[in-house]
Amino acid sequence: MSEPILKVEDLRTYFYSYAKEAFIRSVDGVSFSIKKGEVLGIVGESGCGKSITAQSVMGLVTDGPGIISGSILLTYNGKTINLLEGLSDYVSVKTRRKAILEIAKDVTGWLKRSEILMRGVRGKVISMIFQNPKSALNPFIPVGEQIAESIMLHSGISAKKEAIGAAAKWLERVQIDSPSMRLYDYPFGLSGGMCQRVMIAMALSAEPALLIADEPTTGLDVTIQTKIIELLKQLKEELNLTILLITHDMSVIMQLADRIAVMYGGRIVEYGLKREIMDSDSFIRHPYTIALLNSLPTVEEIKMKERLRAIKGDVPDTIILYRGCRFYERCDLKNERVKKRCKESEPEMIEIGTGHYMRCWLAEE
Amino acid sequence: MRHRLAPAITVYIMSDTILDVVNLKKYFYHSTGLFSSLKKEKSVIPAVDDVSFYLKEKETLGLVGESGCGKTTVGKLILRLIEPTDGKIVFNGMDMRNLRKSELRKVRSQMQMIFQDLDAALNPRMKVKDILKEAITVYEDLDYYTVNKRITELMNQVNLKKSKLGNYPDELSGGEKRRVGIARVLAVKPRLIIADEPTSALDVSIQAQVINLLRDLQEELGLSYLFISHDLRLVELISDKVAVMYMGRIVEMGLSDRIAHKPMHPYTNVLWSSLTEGGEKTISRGLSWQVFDFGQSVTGCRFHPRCEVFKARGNPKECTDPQNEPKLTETGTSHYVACHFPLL
Repeated sequence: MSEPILKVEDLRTYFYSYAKEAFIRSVDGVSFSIKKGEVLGIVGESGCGKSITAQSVMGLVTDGPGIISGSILLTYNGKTINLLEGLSDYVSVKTRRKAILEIAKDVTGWLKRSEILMRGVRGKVISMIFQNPKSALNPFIPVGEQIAESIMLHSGISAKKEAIGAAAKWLERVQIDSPSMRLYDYPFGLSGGMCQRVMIAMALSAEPALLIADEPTTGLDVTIQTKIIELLKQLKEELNLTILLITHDMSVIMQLADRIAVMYGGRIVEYGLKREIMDSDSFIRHPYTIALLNSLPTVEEIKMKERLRAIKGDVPDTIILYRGCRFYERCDLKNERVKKRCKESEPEMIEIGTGHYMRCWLAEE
Repeated sequence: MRHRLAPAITVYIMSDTILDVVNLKKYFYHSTGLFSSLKKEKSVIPAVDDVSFYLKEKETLGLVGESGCGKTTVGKLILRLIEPTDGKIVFNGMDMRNLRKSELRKVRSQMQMIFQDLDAALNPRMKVKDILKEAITVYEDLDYYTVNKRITELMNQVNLKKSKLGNYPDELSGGEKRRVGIARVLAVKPRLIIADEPTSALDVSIQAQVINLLRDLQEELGLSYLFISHDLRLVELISDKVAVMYMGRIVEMGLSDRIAHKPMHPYTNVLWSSLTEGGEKTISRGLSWQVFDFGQSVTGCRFHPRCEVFKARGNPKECTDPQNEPKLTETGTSHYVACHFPLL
């Protein structure tokens, strides 16, 4: 039970930019783990590396000049595999243009091996639901057939009729009315919320060990957002799902997540149980988490028509190498005593409570 | 017949009403199949159906509703980017529908729209400087010096660094692009801004920046806003009045405070209860999965298939009677609701 399903250690995903002749450090040393039946929510602004983290886990980062390193340990059926095994042998960091091209050539051998491995993992062990369900579904195939296809591929059912029957059961499970009729509908005939539920049905039909939900509610209407969250919550209880939830919406995190990782500029800046981080009377939080929470207006603030507390400035550039804390420029809480330190050296992850980590010099005080 | 909501014609030239929309209608004709033009009956989509409201100077009216309810169409109709089927739009004492093209051009300098799609709104092949220059010189012939002065002024107004002037739109972040869009709108010195989902593509932190900016500008320049959004929190925060749309109709309208905390229409109630406040509690009173569909023929009140009150009252006849669709009626001080059984 306590054995983590997914354990990511020091994951780095860099892309090489020819225009700027430098690496874009999209994911820069991220570590986290998910236990069975747990929901880990990764939250942060766009451009902070949330989606790239998920794509790295799924092996969906396109090959090309760049670097992936670290380890992704996946445990299922009693065995543990490292999805990035052997990759480190191929990678040596040289920033000259020619050198990068050579590395990319070298890695193809590893990529081929990885692709075979990933084919057994994707959909079966880890499945994913995407932000834009309409573009993720094939517009030319009825949704029932698309779900059946995934069932036939992963569950060992080879008769199509049987698979379609199973698909209908899944549609019912995600609360779609008259599922046996909806099976023959095309994605364009369904609403956004319905498409998202079809995606969820498809993702769950292979009974994966881990579900990655990348912004599952973005772009949907408020009323449907609430319903999708409720549905995910309910399915989690029923099937004992493990979910890696990626979102920029704090209110989604509040409702679904058990554990939270706040990302900023390619790094996790705070990590811990939701109740520890979100408790209003809890001890300390990362200044960025506080700023994120504050930028959502509270009921009182709306009533008084107060000014919103925006975070000044913009998301950090992941090309620049930072000496100090990445949040320094936008931070309101840097106090005089630690200010110099904030600017000059980057804080490490410091444990401030049981399983509650924070990357801030204030935590040391 | 004039709608009871609108003040009499003579009044709004004198008073501070800047925009008056009366019984506005837009029907789209939906053709299906190859020989649909031969068919006598065409299916009609009443995207905007009998919408009336007015907007006073320096005031903000929030227009909320689910996607597809006709919010954006209302915005476009006011600017006459699409022609209304019926109804009246009076802007600043002028009937927009009677204007000739050259007159319309002049009037449009006073009313501007901020569009939802950031990337489609800015020309990717023009630098920020040229985008602003084009907007500044479109109505006035100005010399180089004045244009540059105006560009600097605009950049200051929207808190953009001058170094961004040489950038192309795709080199800017979402928040910066949005601010360039706002600067371009301000360039023609409008009095009314129709903001169509100005924050929907932005992060929460950037969203707050843009909302603060819009509110500052309103105070500084005395602008009026028609704020179209589906983010209820922001609408409540920024608006003086809120109108809730459902399937092309306004179902409730009133002061934002009242709409949010004492809603009378069951739909408004459901919309606001679908918001969750930071904490643990989840409100499961939400709507059914079903979304409205203009293709379905609904008789009587358009909301009744999804309505909780309708179910709770044991499917009363009034709600389904085709002759008796609820009309927007005043129930309190400037609070209007279109429902047979309003919540109290």
